[in-house]
Amino acid sequence: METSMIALPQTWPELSTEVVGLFESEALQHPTWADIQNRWGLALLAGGRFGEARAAFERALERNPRYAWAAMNHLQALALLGETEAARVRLADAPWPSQGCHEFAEAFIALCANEAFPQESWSLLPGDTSGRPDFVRLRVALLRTKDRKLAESAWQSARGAFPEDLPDWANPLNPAPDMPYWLLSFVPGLYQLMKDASTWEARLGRTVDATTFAYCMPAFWYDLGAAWCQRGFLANLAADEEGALIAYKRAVDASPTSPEPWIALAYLWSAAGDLTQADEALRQSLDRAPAYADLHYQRGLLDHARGDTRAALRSFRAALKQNPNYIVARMQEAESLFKLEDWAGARSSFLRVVNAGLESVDIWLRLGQSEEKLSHPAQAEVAYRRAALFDPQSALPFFHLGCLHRDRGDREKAKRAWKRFLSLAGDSEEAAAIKAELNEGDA
Amino acid sequence: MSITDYRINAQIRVILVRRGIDLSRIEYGVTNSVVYVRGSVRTFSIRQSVDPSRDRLEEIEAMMRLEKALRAIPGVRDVIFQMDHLVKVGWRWKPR
Repeated sequence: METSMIALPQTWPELSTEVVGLFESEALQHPTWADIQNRWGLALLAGGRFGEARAAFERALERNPRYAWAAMNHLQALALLGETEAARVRLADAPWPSQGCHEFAEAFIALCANEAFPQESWSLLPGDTSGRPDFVRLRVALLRTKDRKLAESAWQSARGAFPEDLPDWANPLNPAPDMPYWLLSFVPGLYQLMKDASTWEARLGRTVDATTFAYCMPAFWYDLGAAWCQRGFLANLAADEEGALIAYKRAVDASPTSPEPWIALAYLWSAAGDLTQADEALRQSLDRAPAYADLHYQRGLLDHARGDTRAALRSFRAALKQNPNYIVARMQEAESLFKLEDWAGARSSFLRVVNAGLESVDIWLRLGQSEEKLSHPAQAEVAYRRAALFDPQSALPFFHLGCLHRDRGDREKAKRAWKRFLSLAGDSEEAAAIKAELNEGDA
Repeated sequence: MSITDYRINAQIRVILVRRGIDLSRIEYGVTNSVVYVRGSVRTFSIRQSVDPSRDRLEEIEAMMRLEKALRAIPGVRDVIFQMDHLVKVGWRWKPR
């Protein structure tokens, strides 16, 4: 799928019946989850059901009174319903998700109430300081000026500043008669709804619809990084690695501080076999998300691949510090310790792996060898027998059992184990030496 | 871990992503060309079915396809599974 060929839809991105149903069903299943109630509120808002949306935001705020985005959404629902005074009460006491939101909300209430917005407040609106195009402020200004020519010019500037071409439904000079879509375009919370709708559509297998919603995201909140990440995610799903790489690189450019695109790039470059790029992406990811266990794990894999077992061990342990139940990381820790000949450490880690239920011939053999190095022959024998039990067709457990019995001076048991080994792997590298040893013993 | 293990590991992720498998429910790793997979193979796709027996059957079929794909990665010596809902008995997958 070539995502960059799909243009921003020029009609309001209406949620499909299935997606609305999914949001509603979640809200009914989880009435006490604030974020799910908030999302359901946004879905209702997008469908023009402002009264029901307000109730959903109130449920979210009952559960979490400091939920800043729910407070913002609630205020906007009140303003859209024409409850200007209630919206202003909310404005006075709401926690705000980010700088400039208070002024933004104040302007939104004024727009809905068709009131003049104080000229001195314009400069406080988001857009001036964050470096993103100030289309938000321009659009707010449009209706207040009542100057059609100036409004037209400002609208064109806003469109020019918007990389995907600002959609017609967001144009306050040409408002749709039945729904205040241009006002809804000032509801930043709908940004998250568009992302969620995109993901649901992808899960329903409708990639075109999924892409449409991903493209709508920046129309509500100018976070191009997250929008590009969503496109990268969709490209990944469609097995379009090249498209995913482009999207995530654009996301890095748009949101340099976000870990998400770097993490995705680390995986993509690893899959492409570009260890240098993967290394850099992992370093950037870990700088931004040091508590993400899988990143430490991936770092360990890369260190291991480069032959730096000590660095790998440090990374696997960092992963385990974040998630002590990460059993595959525990297995890699055990492997690293085994390679470093830390037999007690390897034994301890392998035991934790098998005790968690993950076993294989290799794991049992490694455990057995560690036990042998620690002069625990009885425990080594148990481990080798477990290896043989795990896969009765595997020859190596019998090879190690034979060596163990020989070292303990039990020739008969050694011979039996080795004969079994030879019956399973008579042509193997070790077979010639075993045959020689058996003949020597018989002589 | 060799470079082969590293590449196998990266290939596994590609396979899981393309199959829409929820990566938050699955762990995977490679040592000495043996692949380890544990957790659940819940797919990201929304299933329309409301029949639990059909869902189980679909999960088993998904598991069989996944195993085949993993074994087909060049260099893979064996694949070891420790799945939450399924267990392999002989060559057949069954619900736990």
